[in-house]
Amino acid sequence: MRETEKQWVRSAISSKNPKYFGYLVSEYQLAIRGYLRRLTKGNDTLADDLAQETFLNAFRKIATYKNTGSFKSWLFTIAYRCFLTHIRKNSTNPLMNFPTDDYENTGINTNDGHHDETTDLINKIDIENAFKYLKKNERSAISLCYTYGMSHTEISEIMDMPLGTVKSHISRGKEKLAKILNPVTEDVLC
Amino acid sequence: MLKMLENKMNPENEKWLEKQLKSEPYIAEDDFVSKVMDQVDADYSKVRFQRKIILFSTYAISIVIFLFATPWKWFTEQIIAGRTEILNTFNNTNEMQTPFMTVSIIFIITFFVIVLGLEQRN
Repeated sequence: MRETEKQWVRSAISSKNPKYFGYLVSEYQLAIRGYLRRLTKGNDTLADDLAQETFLNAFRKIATYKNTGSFKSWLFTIAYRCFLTHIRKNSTNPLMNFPTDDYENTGINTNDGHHDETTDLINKIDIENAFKYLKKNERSAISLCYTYGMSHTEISEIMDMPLGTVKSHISRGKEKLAKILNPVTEDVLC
Repeated sequence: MLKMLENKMNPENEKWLEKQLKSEPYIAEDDFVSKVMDQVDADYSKVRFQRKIILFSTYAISIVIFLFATPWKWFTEQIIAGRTEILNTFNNTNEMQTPFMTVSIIFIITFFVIVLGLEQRN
């Protein structure tokens, strides 16, 4: 964490002034919104609602933040809990449980060896689509690990899971993504 | 199990996949921060208002308890006795005729005004 960020966190805690908290929101909003978009399978509106709830909860509970871990990982913890709470609240609505789709024959095949801007964009879209075929814990673990650079230990704290379970989610998720994004290679491998 | 899964993936594909996974989902620039800050400000004002209400109620209850529970009769007797004693000491002096009761009430009111004023600023 940069020194200025530490200063903002300290000021936000000591004075409870929304101004300093605003700096933190600007700094971390992209990460939190992106993470929640992955969790909600690309549901932008819901992801932004949950992100707003995350920052509001963070502001209310900022006094409980201990400077031992990173502020970003603390925010991810709140975001993940907000997402789980949302699922529990809407447990009667099958769509809000974000069921795992069958990832066989998705039609996504990106790794064709060409590398230009268009291919990169298509890859990006395909990656986001491919995430929809993962389970929520896999989506969360993989995003935190690869996209947001969290260590396995941090992820286990964020998701409140044993380290082994986190590693297992990451491996399984990666395996599924490889299958979805590269079915040709998968056929050869099988 | 983990070993088996890892072995199944081609290292080249794995590298490609990890590289792709590093990119964050695209989020367009919008007024998200201002929306959040509006909510935070509203929440902050609400909490401050609630805190003030609780504080003022506490002060009001304290004042009521103070007014009703204080043994005013005993205080008055003590003050009169003290004044008589002082008056006896400074025989025939009229300067000590100041009503002690009024002074003590002014003192209490000043004290509460200062405390409430400080609290208002916070």
